[in-house]
Amino acid sequence: MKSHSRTSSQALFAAIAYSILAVWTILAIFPFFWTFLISIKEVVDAFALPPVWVFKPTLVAYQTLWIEEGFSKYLINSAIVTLGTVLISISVGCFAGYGLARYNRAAGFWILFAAFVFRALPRLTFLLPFYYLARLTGLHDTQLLLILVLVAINQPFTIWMLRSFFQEIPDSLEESAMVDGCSRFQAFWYVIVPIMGPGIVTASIFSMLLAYNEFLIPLILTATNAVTMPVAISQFGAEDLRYWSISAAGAISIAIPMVIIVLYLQKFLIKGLTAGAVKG
Amino acid sequence: MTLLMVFPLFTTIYLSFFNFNFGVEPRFIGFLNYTRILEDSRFWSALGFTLFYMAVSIPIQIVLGFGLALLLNEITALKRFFISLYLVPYIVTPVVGTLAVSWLFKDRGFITWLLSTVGVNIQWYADATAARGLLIGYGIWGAVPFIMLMLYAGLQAMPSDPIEAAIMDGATWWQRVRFVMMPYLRPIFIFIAMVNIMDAYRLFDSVAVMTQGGPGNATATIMYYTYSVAFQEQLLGRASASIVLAVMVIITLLYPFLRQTYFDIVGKK
Repeated sequence: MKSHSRTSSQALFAAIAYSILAVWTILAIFPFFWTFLISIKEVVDAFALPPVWVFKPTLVAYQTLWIEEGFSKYLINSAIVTLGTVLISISVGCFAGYGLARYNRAAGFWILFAAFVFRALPRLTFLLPFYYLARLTGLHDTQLLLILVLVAINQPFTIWMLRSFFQEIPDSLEESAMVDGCSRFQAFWYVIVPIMGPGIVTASIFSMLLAYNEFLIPLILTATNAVTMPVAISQFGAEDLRYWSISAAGAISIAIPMVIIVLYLQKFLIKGLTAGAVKG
Repeated sequence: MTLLMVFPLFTTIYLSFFNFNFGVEPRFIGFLNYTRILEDSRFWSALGFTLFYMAVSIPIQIVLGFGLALLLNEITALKRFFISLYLVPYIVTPVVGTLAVSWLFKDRGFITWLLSTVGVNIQWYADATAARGLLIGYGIWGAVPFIMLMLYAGLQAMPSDPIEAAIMDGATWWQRVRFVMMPYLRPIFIFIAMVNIMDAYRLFDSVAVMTQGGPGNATATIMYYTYSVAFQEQLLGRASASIVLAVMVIITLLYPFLRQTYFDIVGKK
């Protein structure tokens, strides 16, 4: 009897757990689902009330967006800036994080502190001088400037994260490699980096999200040439109902690459967080 | 690299003492920028809304995120499915998320319409309270995934012995959460609190895209205020002073957390 009441209360608990999780799933996804619907509706249907549920899907909005509005230019800018930021932050982060994990264990707090200061302090603290200098030097509105600023903001965070992954790897591993005749660099490159896979992927995901999603930095530091997708879409005239479908198509276009990449790499992300970052 | 950040930081402080603009020779004016900011009622209302936003949204975010992480930790099936979908609002560019949510609440938006069918008519962008509530709700919606992910990873990394020992001792589920899991997750909670305080403090994207600080000045945050001083009024010196003040406020707020983390990390090793 007792065990019966326990299983039924467990079943009740599971039922409640699944319903709550399901409700949050709907909350999390619905806005994007709705945006997707708007993007494949004719303009008349897009803002019809009550909403039109049965309609003939169309890709007109995407066509307008990519061909007439020239959205690909912003995609290329975003891609250059994201790729540049990730490549530089991760390579610098690997060497610095490795060095700090091996040679200076007490530095942890100060790197973490710097990571917070750089990444989390209001962007405007750094941006106003950057903006002024960039206008003076002619770097304003270039992808190079965006990469420089993003790397600077991101670097301590990447170093800190990679450092905590390196710390999990015992010293003995590369010591034995060095006994076998590897140089310190070879030991690092051939022994340590491969087992750092999940850690490097995790740090790359965070760097990538930062660079791809950033709004304020490109808003201030670009004008026409280097404008990235988030800035472009925000200035698309969302007030005008005729633009709803096109803006929605833009929103979906921006979201899809990141969603695919991150969900594909998700198991690394959880593994990486469990192994390194969470343990601080 | 440090130079890239430290130099602008000091430049900002330096500039805050100048009347400084494009095409105009910078002129030293002492603390005048600071006096102007402190006299500006928009500064105080922006600071007030920012702090209010933090005070309301951060506790709700953490409770919701922890609740979801606990539930995810308990269930057996469909974990990956839930995690994947929960990650979506976190991965998607904030500007896109903001647009997606803001459309639902426009005058011809789906949720506005849905509410009107049950007799609730709200003009979300014309009413100060509604617009504030919308931003806070959006902030919670956007921040929960990260919190959930961090805490879930923490729960997964937790050794199972203490929990099993607690079950043997007859601890209820809530007692296990309260006295075994929460103490173990404490460093993560502190980390999350710091990240969220700073994220909430520099709230800008959703304000700029959703409400532009309106109606009136009701939803202007401290960053949005500074941005408008710098780029709408073109007063770079005064905006620098505003930023310096803003940074002083956030450092004061974070000081206890930083001290705690310092002890946790340095004291431990």
